[in-house]
Amino acid sequence: MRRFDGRPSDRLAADRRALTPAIGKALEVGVVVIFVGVLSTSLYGGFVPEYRTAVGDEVADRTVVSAAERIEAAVPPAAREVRSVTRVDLPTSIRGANYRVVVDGRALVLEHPASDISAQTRLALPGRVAVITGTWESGADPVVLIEDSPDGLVVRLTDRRAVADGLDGEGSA
Amino acid sequence: MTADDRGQANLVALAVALVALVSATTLGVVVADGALADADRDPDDRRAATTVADRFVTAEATTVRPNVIDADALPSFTPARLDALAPPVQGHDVRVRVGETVVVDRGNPTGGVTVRRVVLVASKTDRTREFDVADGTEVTLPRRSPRVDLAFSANSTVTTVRANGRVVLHDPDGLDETRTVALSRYETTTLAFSGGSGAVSATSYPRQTRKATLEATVGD
Repeated sequence: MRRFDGRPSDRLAADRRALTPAIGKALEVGVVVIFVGVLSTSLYGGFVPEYRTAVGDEVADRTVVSAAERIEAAVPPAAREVRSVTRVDLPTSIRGANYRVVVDGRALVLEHPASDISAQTRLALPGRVAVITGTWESGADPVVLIEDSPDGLVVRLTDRRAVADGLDGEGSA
Repeated sequence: MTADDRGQANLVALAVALVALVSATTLGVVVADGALADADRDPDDRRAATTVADRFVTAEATTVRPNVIDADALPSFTPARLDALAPPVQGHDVRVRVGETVVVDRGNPTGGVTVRRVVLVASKTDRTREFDVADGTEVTLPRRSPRVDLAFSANSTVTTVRANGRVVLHDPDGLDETRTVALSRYETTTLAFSGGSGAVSATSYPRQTRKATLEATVGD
């Protein structure tokens, strides 16, 4: 800080000096706050949700393809009596939300609460599979249950607790 | 320097700092966008291509035995049959090539996923040989064939035909018509005629195989 020497010019300079640093700092603080606010709004309001949705869509695609491949691999070879339970690994959530995997005819469809995220693929199963049915909820333990029926094999998407209840103490799947 | 200049220099420094911050943020967003674009792997197309390649080399409709493609089944192969053979490819552009020949073509799948398999392509040919046989004559068929058609002349008196020591035809009155004999796929066959003599015309159906690459390309 400059010291008063008692000269007339110093008194004039002192008036102007007292204003500039304070206003300067206040302006700087204001500009920085506004800038950070604008940047955060544009990022979190525009870019970040878009990227999360794009990534969620990508993960949904890969999840449904991996689930379809697991189901196809779970179908056992032709045999007289068949009952098989195969555990499948699915991600617990996509874009922070739980989703469902349902069967639509011979296709596997992933349903997600966000309207932009969805995926589906057709299943390539051998002719001896008669029916595919069932739903998987993410977060539960998904399994593929394959049983015999008079028309052929029945492939059911369920979860491990439902199958374990039906086994009646024969052991866990 | 006067007091006015000092206050202004602070704001200029702040402006420069903010510009640098904006450029850093923009650069970060551009890098993230690039990373996301690179991570796009098209799992659906890849699965369709793998299923097409797998099914093509193992299905009964297109192969003689696993990994050996039947050349006679290729000209009549339509996209609709491919859809039935490999359901995941429905609705996608696809091209299947065996060696240099395009077997199935739908849409324009360039830029999609390609799966290649090394296969054998088997085409059927037939060879007819005529020879005279007497009691105890042995004739070896040089190429393996699933069956052989033996046409005996009308006045032949051959009673028994053996293939690799196993009796396959026997008629005490003399074989005199065209008979088909199933042969082993794993051994070269030697036909032994006994019991009489006659003229025989043997038609065998060896398969010619050549190595080729099966290429399945699936786009969107």
